[in-house]
Amino acid sequence: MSSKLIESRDTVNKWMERFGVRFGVYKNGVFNEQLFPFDSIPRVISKKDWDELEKGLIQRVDALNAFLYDIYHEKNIIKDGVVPEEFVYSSKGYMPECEGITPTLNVYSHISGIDLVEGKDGRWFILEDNLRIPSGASYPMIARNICRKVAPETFVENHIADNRNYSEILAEMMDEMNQGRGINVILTPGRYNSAFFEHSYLAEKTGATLAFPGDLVVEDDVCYFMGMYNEKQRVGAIYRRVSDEYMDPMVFEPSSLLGVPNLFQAYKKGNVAVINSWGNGVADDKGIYYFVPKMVKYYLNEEPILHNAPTYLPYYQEDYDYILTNIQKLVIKDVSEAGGYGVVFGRDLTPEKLEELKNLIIKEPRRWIAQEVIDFKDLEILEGEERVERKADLRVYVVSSGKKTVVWKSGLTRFSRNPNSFVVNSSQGGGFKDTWIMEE
Amino acid sequence: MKYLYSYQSITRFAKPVIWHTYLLRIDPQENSCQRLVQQSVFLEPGGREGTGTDGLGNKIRYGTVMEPHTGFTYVSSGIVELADEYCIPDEGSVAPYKAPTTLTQMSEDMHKWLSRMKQKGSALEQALTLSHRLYRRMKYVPLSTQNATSAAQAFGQKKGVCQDYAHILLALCRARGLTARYVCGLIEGEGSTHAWVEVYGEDRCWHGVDPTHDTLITTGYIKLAHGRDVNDCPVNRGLYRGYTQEENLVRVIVTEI
Amino acid sequence: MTMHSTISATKANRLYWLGRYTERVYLELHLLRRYYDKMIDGEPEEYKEYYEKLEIMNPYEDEESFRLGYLYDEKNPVSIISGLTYANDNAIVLREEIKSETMSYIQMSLVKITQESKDKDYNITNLQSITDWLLAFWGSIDERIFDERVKNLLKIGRYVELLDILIRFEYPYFRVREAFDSLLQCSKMEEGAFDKTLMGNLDWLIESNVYKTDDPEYKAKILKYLNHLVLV
Repeated sequence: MSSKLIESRDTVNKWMERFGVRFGVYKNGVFNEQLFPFDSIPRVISKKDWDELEKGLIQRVDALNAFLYDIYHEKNIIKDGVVPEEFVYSSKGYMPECEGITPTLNVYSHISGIDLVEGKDGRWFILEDNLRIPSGASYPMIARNICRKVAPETFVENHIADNRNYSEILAEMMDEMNQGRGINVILTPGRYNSAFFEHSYLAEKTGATLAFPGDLVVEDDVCYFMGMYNEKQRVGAIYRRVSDEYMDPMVFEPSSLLGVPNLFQAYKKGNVAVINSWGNGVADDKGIYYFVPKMVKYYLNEEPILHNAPTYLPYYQEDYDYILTNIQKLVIKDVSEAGGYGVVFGRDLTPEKLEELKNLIIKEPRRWIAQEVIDFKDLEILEGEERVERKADLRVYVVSSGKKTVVWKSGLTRFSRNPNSFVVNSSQGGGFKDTWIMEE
Repeated sequence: MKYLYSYQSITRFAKPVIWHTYLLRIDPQENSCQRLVQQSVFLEPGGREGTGTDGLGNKIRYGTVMEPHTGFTYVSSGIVELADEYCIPDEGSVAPYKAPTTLTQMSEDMHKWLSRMKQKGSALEQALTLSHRLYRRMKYVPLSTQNATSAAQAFGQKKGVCQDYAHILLALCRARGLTARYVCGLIEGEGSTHAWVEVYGEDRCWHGVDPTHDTLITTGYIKLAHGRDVNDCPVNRGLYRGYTQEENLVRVIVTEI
Repeated sequence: MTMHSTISATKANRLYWLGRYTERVYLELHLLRRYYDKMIDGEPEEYKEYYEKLEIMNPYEDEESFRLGYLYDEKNPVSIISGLTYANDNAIVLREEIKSETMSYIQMSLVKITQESKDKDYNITNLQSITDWLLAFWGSIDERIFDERVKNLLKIGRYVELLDILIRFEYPYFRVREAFDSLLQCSKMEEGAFDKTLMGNLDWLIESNVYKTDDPEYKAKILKYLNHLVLV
């Protein structure tokens, strides 16, 4: 169906090198920019599957935004007993500083990166929500552009949704948030951030000004971009790629030099939109994940279309009993803030280690969640000239501007090079694929 | 009773600095036990400053001085009237003060130490018992800790300053299921700000416990700000551009009048 | 909203240096070709003149290590590979201003020189593509950038570097004057970025009856003024 494209893997990669499509990695304290290997066999998602995913993702992100508003205002979902308060307040992502603040047009998560996996049976599961600064959209953006040039026939023969509108979706959302107050900027931590390519590429494609730490200043609760002669230009919206705790050293991490001092006050006064808003970590927390389908019901009064991986909270007696009985076949995740266990597969543990884990769960049930192990559908990749199957996930980008929530008809499909690895992290030698959303 | 208070901070820079941003919590709170009779705040160079409240309800003052300057001075002074009893009603959400923070995590040692103690009495009685035992364990040693020292570290080395006493007591209270928060303010006889703890009682009031002096607070404590730990309510934060050395002098006066 | 009228101080600095480094590499490739040519007929020591003009201590003992060193030695600040690395360091943080297509010429040049350095090939004709790409880089700037200030800051860097090299290598007066006149032209749009006194001094020093590059004192003075002229 796309043999010309598949044969062109090396050509596509060559073009990506030409455009400096790289990501930064620190190895033994030395910064290195690596290419992100592109695999030319696309992931194909049928129109039927996509229509379902699209509806479900809009629903999910709308519910998450409603949750964030509620948590920092009335807290009805807690009062009504749907989400226990300890899950909210013990989350590292909960920021009391955000209490009572209403972001521009009530939008908290403007750009949501939702990670999904497809099971062997063709069912999709949500792995996690990324509502802070999800990255990676630039890779499928540029890859599709190159693929269309390298193998035009492929795109004539197949009816693939055009995905070259991401910068327009972003720019439109930024303008909406800006409300005509000033310029749009993309704030990057700097060249040595692993996603710097993406920051600069998105600035180029959206027409926003790329701002570095130190370019922005706040005076009288208004944020300005400083010019070379100290002339000031007002900023109306900041698409920031700096994390919450480093964004304002006056309120958060005091040693941060990546942020904009007193930006939080300008944000609070409603003089500048911060994309994504502060405090979103409380909604994409591992412990809160369990409650997202309940949020859909609670806020939208709709049945959730998409499913979480089956998850159990030992906090609830029924789940507690289930986990202790079935621990060998489950994945156990530590949701506590400091240190801890991370993610462990029950089947990998010795009987002694299992006992130890059980005791920890008994001691602090709130600290843990457990999930069924999903049997992933593996995707074919080219290893040399040979086709082999590897683990892969999919990140879909959902953009909210208050007026509407849009799912970008594309996504980042990452795969792991290592045949035994479940980790599809790009910094561990993985690569990515184009994701085709079929139009018919 | 009425108290005169004055908090002064004078910073000198060896060379001029620019783009100086600051955020201060130097205004006494107003609540049913603490009334502001007179108040003035003086900042130099002040420029255009903003005032407001932070997410936890503390008063803040902040601003940016873009022009070069070689000093930064602020003085907050006035008269407050304090009630005879330290008891602040609060019908709002107190849940944020139940969970441990990074600075107030319990260590294994703290858990062991705590498990040797019986749990009885009201929230306030429990907090006082903990404060009492803590006071016997710890030694007050100026400069023995830093701003970022955690409760667990200070507990381990058995010494610290008022901030550490407060952090440890917070960790212990929260481990016992109590709701407690960090308070920073002014008292008589300290050259600087002081830190203590508020415990949320069954009467839906915040009660003051000073672990550094092992006392139940009644009066004489002028409250500036509260938070989950010190990071939520530092008295001042500042950042500027310039390669220079700075020298800072703080003076605090509190006197009953 | 796509206003780009404000250029931050760091960005101005990067544009200036991107202009300088790309011009430097372009000119050095040209000069190295010339010196390699001289070495065909003349003494192998001819190469010494090259680094003396650049006021660089020469760590290379013989002709061959000289040839390799000025192309591929990453520790040598005036080697081609260093110049391209510095150019790339600036280009990478200016993508949204100069566009990915423009940046790609610097990327390709750096990839090319890195590959050649592995082969230790000192046949300089293999580097012709870098010369071509650097010319394409300037062409792409004229084609794709419509922010006149951005274009101008790049050109300021380019003319300062051109002047620097022309003076070091003792080019005739008219070559230096025409480059300086171009720089004067560029300075009009960005007056605040120039030291006015130094500009006046240079204007006076680059006069036909004053210009004498065989006077070391004169040369040192004019190079010093030139390198302190732009305040970004």
